[in-house]
Amino acid sequence: MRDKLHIYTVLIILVSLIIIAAIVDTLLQPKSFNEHGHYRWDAVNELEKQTVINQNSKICSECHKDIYQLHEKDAHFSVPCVDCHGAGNLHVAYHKDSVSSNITKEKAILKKEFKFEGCLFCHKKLNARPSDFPQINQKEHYKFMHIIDSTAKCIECHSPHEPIFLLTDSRQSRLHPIVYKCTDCHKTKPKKNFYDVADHPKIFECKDCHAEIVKDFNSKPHHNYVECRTCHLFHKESENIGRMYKNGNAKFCLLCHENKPFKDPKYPPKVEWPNHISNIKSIEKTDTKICLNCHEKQIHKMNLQLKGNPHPGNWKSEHKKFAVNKLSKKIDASCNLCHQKDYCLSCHKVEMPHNDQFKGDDHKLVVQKKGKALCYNCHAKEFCTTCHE
Amino acid sequence: MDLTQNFLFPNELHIYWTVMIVLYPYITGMVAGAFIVSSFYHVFGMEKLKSIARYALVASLAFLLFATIPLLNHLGKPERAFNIMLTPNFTSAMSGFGFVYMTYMVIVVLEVWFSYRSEFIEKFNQSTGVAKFIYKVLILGNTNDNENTKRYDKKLVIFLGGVGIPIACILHGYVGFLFGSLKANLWWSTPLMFIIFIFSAIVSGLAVLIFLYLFVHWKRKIKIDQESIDLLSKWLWGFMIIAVTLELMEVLSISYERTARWAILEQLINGKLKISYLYLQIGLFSIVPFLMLSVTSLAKFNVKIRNFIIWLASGMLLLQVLLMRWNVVIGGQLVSKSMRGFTEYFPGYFDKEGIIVSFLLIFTPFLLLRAFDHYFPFFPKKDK
Amino acid sequence: MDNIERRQFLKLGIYSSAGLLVGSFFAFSKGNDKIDVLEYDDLLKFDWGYVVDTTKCIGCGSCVRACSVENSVPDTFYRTWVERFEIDNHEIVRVDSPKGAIESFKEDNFKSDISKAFFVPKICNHCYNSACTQVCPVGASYHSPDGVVLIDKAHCIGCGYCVQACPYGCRYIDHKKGTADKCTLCYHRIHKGEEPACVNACPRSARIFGNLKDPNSKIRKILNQRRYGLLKPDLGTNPKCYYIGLDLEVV
Repeated sequence: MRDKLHIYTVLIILVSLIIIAAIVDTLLQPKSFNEHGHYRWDAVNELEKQTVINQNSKICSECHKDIYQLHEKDAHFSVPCVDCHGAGNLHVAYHKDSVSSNITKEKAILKKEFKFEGCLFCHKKLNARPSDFPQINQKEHYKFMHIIDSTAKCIECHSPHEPIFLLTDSRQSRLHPIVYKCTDCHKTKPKKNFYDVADHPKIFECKDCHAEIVKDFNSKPHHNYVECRTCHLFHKESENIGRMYKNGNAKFCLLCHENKPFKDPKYPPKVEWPNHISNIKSIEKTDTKICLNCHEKQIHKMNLQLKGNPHPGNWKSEHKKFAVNKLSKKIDASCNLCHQKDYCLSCHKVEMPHNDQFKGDDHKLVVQKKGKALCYNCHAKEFCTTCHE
Repeated sequence: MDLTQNFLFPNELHIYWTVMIVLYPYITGMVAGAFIVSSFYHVFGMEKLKSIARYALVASLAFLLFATIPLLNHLGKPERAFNIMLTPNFTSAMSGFGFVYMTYMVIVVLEVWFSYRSEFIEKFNQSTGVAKFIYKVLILGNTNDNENTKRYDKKLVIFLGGVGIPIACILHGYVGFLFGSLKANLWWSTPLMFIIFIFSAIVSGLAVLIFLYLFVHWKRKIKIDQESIDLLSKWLWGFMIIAVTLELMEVLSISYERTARWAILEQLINGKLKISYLYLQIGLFSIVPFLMLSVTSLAKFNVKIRNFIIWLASGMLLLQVLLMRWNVVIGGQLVSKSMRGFTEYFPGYFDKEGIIVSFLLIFTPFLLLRAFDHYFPFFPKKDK
Repeated sequence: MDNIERRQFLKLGIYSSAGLLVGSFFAFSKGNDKIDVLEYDDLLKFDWGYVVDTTKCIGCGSCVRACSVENSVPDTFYRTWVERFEIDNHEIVRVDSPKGAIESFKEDNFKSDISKAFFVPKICNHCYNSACTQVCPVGASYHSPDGVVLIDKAHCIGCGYCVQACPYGCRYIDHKKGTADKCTLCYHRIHKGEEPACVNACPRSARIFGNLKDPNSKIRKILNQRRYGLLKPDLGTNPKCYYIGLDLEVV
């Protein structure tokens, strides 16, 4: 026994150390640990105490109702205030209670100056940006707008809350009112890459249907400068078909025609605004379509009349190359690939393909009563898919 | 896969486990390896290793005391290190660390104490003043030393050594498991990882023992116990073959599977790790020591030259294991989890976790060992 | 023998009690704010989820900027970021995310021949079986009852194991504070009726946030209607951030 004494001493020390450790362990357990799982429950509420910095746009609208309403209706409606003006927590705290919040007035001022980069964060032209999002290449844009001073900021023309813009560089253009995707026509990948759809050879052009308007437009000064889709939202299957951007709002015209120091004064023609209209008494100054009232004729005829045969444009020269007979899988652009001779003749005694009489008022009226003037009015939906897979 | 872009997730620009985490498994590897060697004598009674066993045990203790220092230096909040034992989260491989480490520490300390008890008592009787008091505390005031106590002590040493072997394997195997069980890391995630770590630990333990033993004996001009050195060098040879084979098999199986991750790991091996892995770890520090040890193990020739070759080979294997730890720990973090690029890493010279600090941390256990040698000598005195 | 062990023990004890003291001081000193305390049972009614519509993202980086201001994220670390993928006609993929897109993107990587290009915003997935909470050795990283993966910064030891374990690179070690950090889904906002800062800042509604347990929530409706993908689903982390229009190239 005596000879084992040192072993027992060690054992006792060891056991007592373990007991002490266990006691210390229970004593030092953090508060609220293991209350709802293996973590400190208080930590959840500690996180909750962090202050909210980025303000919600609703809070901004409480004081800045006028600006908010303007902003809400325009293209930037989905852009929250914080994106341009900064987080705004100091601003809100100062204006709620300037005494107790201990915030100096300088700190409470929001960002208002917008540098070029700020706008370009969203609007610089990048391949990866969705094509329906308006984006510009600064150089091209300034050249197009005849802006001399390359340091001119975006906000000189575009108010951030109501950013009126031309649709030039956006890839909104569509090849065809109905055709949307490459695979609608092409079986294999085209050799050339038409990533920007605007580069694609046109199938249908505006003039195919709106021949008179385009003809008129081409005789007017605008045609050297802008295209149809600069002002008009392009065809989409929606209520906005052919709608002019901003419904011909004067601000829209002024984007190009208002005289500003950084713009080329000679071209395009400039006016001083609002001096230009202040002398004309007949004008209702609240009318938003103020420019078109006088200058309508300088643009193009405004009455929309659809004319032309059902296969207008370059159908014969270009488009028929893509007409594939599903059965034989060969390109077959003969008329009876699609049309059975007696299909229309049975009722209308119309020649196939339609002769000149077809574009006369009679037939057009019949079609228009039925609805939209598309192939579908006569031909069933399957008609197109017999060629276009 | 196109890697010209070299894409990283933005947070991956930084390496989070630095050279400190390279040192930790390196040092614990030496601990585990040295302990296992000492147990060969204590537990399995290999008499040839008698002159090595105690020294191995003390070396193990010296390294063990320093094993946590790199970890504490690496922790973002070292003052909270105790949390790992206070609120261990047992779904994490790391949570067991405190317990395994503490258990192992107790075992090693007790084993050293029991095997040195009679010497402490002897010293206690010889010394005076403060030293006497220190020795008194060390022997817990019990000066009873006779045949009976020696027998009990020996039995306990055998028992502790037997318990210690699995704990040593766990202590080190778990470090390998820590790496191998991370599915997020392409280079680490393999079940082989913890086996590789155990074997490379034994290699590094054997290598450090041989290296120091020969070095000290030459310096002090003591007679070398050739039998045990020969035996150790043969074991080193055997274990290094297993360790290197496993390391190569791991890469081979990944490359043969040709899953998506090989595409990027191939680039890692041929790119960022070309020098440290291909040329140094595999080429210079694995194949060359293997050839050297093959010669010393198989052929019989001049003892002095042989010992020198063994010494050189064990030194190279020490570096091999260090490089292996580097290539695993740092190499794994170089690969982006996006599988599209690699980040860069250089520890910096004077940083908190830089090169100077690493060197200090590597060499302090050796200094401690030297101090231990002074207080409880494990090598025989100079030949008379 | 024991004095070495005891010394270590004492040292650790002193450290930890000092840590606790500092921790409790920190906790008490902040307890003055008048904010309703969250109750465990109330939180069980929520399961916060996140939807990213990659087809809508314009890569402006507003979310990254808002996040870094809201949570004072240190430089070169990101709780959310935007990646740009560009694929050319030879199917070469270029991916980049300069500074996490905090200043949006500058130039295209390919001058021509793009076949496909898009942005993908990334954020912590708040996985149901998250690898990061599994490996936290001290229980400082946890799932809140409402399904958000959070970090207890007063308890974290800064070992960095969770950073290694996250397959998505969403965690980082804040070297100043010495603890791990990550997206909290703006935990301080969501229970006050606000959206997370990134969702609040998105000008295109590419990020949608809501309660997955509420069958009438916007997020549930979107998930019922749209087809979505998950990041690295093979790792079994079961992410809760759903990506609409996810490309195969995105990992």
